[in-house]
Amino acid sequence: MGDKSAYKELINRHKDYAFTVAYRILNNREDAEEVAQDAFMQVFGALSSFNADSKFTTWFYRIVFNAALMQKRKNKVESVDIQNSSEAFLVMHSSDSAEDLQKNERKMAIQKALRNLSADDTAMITLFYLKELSLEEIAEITKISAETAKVKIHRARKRLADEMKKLLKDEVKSLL
Amino acid sequence: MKMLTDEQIFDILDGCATKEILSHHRNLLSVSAEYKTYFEDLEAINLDLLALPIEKPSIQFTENLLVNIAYAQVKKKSWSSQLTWIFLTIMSVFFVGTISLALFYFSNSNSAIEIPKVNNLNVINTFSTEILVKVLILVNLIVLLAIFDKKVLKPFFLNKKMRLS
Repeated sequence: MGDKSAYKELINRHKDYAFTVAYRILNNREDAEEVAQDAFMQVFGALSSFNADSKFTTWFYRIVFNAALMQKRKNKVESVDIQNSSEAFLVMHSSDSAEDLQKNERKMAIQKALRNLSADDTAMITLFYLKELSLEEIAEITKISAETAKVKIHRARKRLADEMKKLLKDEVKSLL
Repeated sequence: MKMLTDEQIFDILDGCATKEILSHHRNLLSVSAEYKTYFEDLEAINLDLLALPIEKPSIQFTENLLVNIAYAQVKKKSWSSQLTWIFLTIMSVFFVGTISLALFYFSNSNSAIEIPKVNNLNVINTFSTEILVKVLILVNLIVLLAIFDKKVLKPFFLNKKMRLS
């Protein structure tokens, strides 16, 4: 009984971040949920072997990160989430103001650009912008040095900027 | 004027640029329109990324997970209890097999083996009848106490401690 409530608290505290990391890498809600669930199961199975000196979130995100990357490699056919399709976007935001619409359009564009990046780049950006993790922790999760992690994040953001430019150019072309 | 690298621009956006870079950046902003546009593009992307929402899993996520955990624990428990039964079954089979074989050969054998009588080995006789039996009883008692401590006492006090805290 005590275990159950402790598990519940742990799940509720970390599920959103775990799901976000998995979702950004996989672009599919069902797969991301499965990966997050598997990661929690792995964590509960190995709690006794967890080294109390290290930070729980670092250990946990490493499991989520690895599981998501493995799933990504398994998924040979790229699946697009219905909720993220442009048709769904038009239906969902048809009553918004012009400003909201612009904001949402940018949000959609950045999510689309993120989807076009490699899983590695997306993972680096997602971990960096979770605001929960320091550069050293990201390095520990991805098993690289902090300096390499910093360079990788910079490069990923640069590629994202290029992707955004490309997407906006295509959009302008399609309007003309 | 020399432009800043992408890494230096991202350092500015992350708030970890040096004073030198910052002053160079301010100069560039006032002098170069090209740099200003480029910086604003990257800044907009940085802001977009910062504003990206934290995704939420389905409402049943926690419940489903708790069910899976409970199921995994039951599965694990049942496997460990099965191991005991498997061990006991194998031991019983061996025991019955040995007795059957002994009975079979004993009833079919006609030859009588003469066992030599040794009278001088009183020490061995004493050891096998008295000391050995005492040692075996003592070992069994220790094993029994260890099992009792692990299976009964430890869970009992652990439970009491948890309830008190």
